[in-house]
Amino acid sequence: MSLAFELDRESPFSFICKACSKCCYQKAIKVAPYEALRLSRNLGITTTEFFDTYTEGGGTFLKIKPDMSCIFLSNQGCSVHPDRPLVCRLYPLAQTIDAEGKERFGKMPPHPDCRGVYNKDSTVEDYLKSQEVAPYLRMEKRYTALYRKMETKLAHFKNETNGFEQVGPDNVGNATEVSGQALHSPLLDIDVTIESYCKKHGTKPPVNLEEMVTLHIKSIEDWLNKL
Amino acid sequence: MKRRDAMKLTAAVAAFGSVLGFTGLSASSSVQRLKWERFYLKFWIEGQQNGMYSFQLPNTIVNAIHQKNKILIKLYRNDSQIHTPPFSWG
Repeated sequence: MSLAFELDRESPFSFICKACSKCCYQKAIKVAPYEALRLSRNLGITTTEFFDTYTEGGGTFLKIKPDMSCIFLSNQGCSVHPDRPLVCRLYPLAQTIDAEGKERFGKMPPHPDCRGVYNKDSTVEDYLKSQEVAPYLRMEKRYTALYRKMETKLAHFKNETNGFEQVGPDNVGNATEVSGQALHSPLLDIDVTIESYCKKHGTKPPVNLEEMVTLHIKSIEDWLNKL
Repeated sequence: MKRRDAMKLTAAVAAFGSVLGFTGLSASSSVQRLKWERFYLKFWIEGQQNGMYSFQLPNTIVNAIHQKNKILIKLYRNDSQIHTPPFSWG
């Protein structure tokens, strides 16, 4: 199912959600570290507890219930709406950023029974503002920069040593045990990573979310620099 | 780099790549979108209730499925194919 990314921020677009929740079924909702942090604080738990309880696929996706609905869908709609993940905010738009950093948007095909109203009386930019995606996109950018560093380090290692065969996101897939929800990488867990970092450096972990992300990224960068 | 660090880094690249949308045919671009479906291979010992292992198929394979290709699954031990794999389809 390919999607045409034909829109930019100035493109005419509007969508009025009627809260029918049809889009909350049969979806794979990814959770990046900042999203996990927001959701965990919404629930009053640690990111470790969040990953253990609410995710699958090694901590990369939100769990779905037996009726295929999102784990957070309640009778009153999304139970974590103020801290819902980026893809939920973007929907029915999808965003792609190419290797040069150019951003484009595509209109996802709606669920056949979606009651939302599409129109062109506004712009993509207005829609993004209404969904408060800015902090999510900012964090995505920061984590993408970190991801690039990790990728570069791994490529360097593979070149140096002939590396391992079949590594990297394209061909590793997402392997996980059915029973037991160990994270694919413990580095996804912000609380654990910064707690360990602060313990090592004799400092107190921050409580402000932005500062936590900053320290999370710094702790991983420090580790990368030592490799 | 120690092998342990290399494994940790490999896992981190895969995990961060997955959650940031760097998966699929073009790993240089990220895509943020709701996905409608996921494809898994899941493994059970015949007659037992609890699954042993689950593997989410990467987008290259999912795309091939969408394009109506017939997918061959083969079991290898090192470089040698096991021609009578102990699999059955449930």
